[in-house]
Amino acid sequence: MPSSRSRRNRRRWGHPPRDWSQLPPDALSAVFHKLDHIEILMGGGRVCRSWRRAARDEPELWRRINMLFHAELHFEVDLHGMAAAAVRRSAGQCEAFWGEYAGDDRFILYLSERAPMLKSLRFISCYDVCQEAFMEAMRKFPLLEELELSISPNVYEEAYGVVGESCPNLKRFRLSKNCFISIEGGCFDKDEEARGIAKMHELRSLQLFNCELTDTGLAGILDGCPHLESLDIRQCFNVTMDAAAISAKCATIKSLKLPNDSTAGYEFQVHPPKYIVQDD
Amino acid sequence: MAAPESGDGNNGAARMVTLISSDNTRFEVEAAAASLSQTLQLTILDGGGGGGDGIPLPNVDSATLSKVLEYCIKHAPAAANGGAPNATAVDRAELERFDNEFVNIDQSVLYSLIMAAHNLEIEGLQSLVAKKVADMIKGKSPMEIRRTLGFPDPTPEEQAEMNAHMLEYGWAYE
Repeated sequence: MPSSRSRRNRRRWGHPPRDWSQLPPDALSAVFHKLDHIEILMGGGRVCRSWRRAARDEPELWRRINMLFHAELHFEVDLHGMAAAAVRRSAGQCEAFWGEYAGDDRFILYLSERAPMLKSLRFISCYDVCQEAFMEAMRKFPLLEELELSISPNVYEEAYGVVGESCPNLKRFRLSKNCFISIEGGCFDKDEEARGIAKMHELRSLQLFNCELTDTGLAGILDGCPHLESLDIRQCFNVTMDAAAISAKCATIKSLKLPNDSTAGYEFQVHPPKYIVQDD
Repeated sequence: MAAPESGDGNNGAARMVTLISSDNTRFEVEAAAASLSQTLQLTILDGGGGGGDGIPLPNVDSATLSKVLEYCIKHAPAAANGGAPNATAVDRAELERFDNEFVNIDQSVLYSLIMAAHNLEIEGLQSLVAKKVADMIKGKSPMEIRRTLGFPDPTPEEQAEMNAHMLEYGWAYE
């Protein structure tokens, strides 16, 4: 038990002077681990020299980079540049990069040079990631297991085939488009994307939202991805295959969502489908 | 707080150890509670801290140590259950309530607790105080954080360093 003498001392002397710049690196690192990466880059990681050092020199802190949920900042700051700063700090150990409005061509090429261990890549609303750079980068992520492209419309069609060929360990793929658009008539090939996805032979989980594939494309995917356990093709209104037909083609599927199933729980805005009629 | 010094000698009462703060206050506490500290655990396992000996903690003052032990005593039963897989929701809610209340303290106490949790390597407490600091600085700019935590105003040299650091991100302005 504290003696009365010590209580008197405490009143008289108070606590020792505190200097937050002198926190031990481990203690600071524990604080940074409770913040997201944009918060570290914009705030805590710039407070003073020792805090900067703690944020900069611990690759573990940057192993799984999460730059989601700060969409509003893309008007104010260069989120692509911040994404690159985050990857730089990971010192080659980055295993996951998740970016929302954080990622453009220059960034994804940078990532492809600096993150050979990458297992998870998610781009949400990354309008500045475009086809050529994306395909070039994807060839350098041989360990990739998870890929998401949501509301990132400048990656399309043959890019998915490149992913299938370059990322033999890919287990989860999510392609979520802003709006279902089907071009009727003309010679538009609605299943080109699906043929690329059918090359992702190890897929366990696939979500295609608002995509224009048809039954032919879906059949190709079910043949090419025999280990699928979860399939979500909500709002892919060109598909007419029913649950029984899908299960008959791919018996491993345990969780299935069909085009007209409820969009409850879907995190992006759902727009009504558009059909564009094109002449030959 | 520290358990009664008399203890209950009979009935297989829990083993007690004595910890001595930097200002020479002795705290008698159950070994199980003190053992939440990784630093103390081995000493205690080897029989240290018993009898009249006591384990000196030159880096922790009595006010801070009493607070640290309050945490350890509250968390020791759950820790003894191996992270309490069989704890009830009520127990967990009670610990959560305790934790929230526990870090509702002024900054100088918080600072001392961070240092003590770090020195004594008490994992749960390290995480709890880190969360508290993180909540205090979340969403704030570097200058706001400096003001929140009572840093002195930056020297021109420090300001220049902060600005240079921003350039790394390719930012046009703050």
